[in-house]
Amino acid sequence: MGTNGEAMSEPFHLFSHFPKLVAERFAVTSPPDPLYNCIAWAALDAGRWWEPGEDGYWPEGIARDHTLIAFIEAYGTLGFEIGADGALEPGFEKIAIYTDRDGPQHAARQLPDGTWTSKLGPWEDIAHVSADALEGALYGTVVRYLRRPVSE
Amino acid sequence: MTVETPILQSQRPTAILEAQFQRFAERWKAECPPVSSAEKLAMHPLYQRIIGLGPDVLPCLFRELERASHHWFWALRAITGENPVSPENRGDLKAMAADWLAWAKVNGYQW
Repeated sequence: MGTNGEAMSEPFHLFSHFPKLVAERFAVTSPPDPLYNCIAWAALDAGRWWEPGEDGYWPEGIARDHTLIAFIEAYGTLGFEIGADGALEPGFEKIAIYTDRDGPQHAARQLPDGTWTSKLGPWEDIAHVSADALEGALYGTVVRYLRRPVSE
Repeated sequence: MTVETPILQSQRPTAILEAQFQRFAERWKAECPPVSSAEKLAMHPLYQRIIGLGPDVLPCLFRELERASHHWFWALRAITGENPVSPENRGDLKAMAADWLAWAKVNGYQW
């Protein structure tokens, strides 16, 4: 990521949806791709679109409900458990879940340096310094952090 | 699985319909918000206008699916009333597209 928030291309199209990015260091890290979404990307799956709706992959045995508990349980199938916060903890990788009044809207994954990576729906991946940089009208706010031990 | 309009299935869409579809589809791709819900993507007014084109637009959707996988499944279900996607393929857009294209061939569509 650039030191002054520069990106692969001029990312002005992001600012209307994510106004906090205007003051955030971030970088566009992939081209747009409709084949996977943020929920999948947080789970390290760049080959499927994860969601509990009809058109999404959802882990077997987890309720296809658009609720926070269903999302926590979905990531639980990968070994994630509820954590305290988004601080960098050596030996752990973390996911932030964003919700609004309609339920989960976004998930971001922490990178080894403590920054975060997000897939923006069918749009690009971005790397951003703080998890709350994507909070706002579209994704709501971060309400849970999950963590799991980093696999060797 | 069949639909109720077999006479139309082998007809190619008119140039006007194809142009409408392309215009709506390109604008939808450009204007759809960065959300991770296929249903929310489908609720966009331009996507709904594509559904409103009715069964005649199906060959356009199949050609588009063959060219590049995208979230056309909500529209296909809405227009046909069918869902040929195998449960194990849900979320794998390329496999979902293959399921739909196989269904289209079995049901006599040309695109």
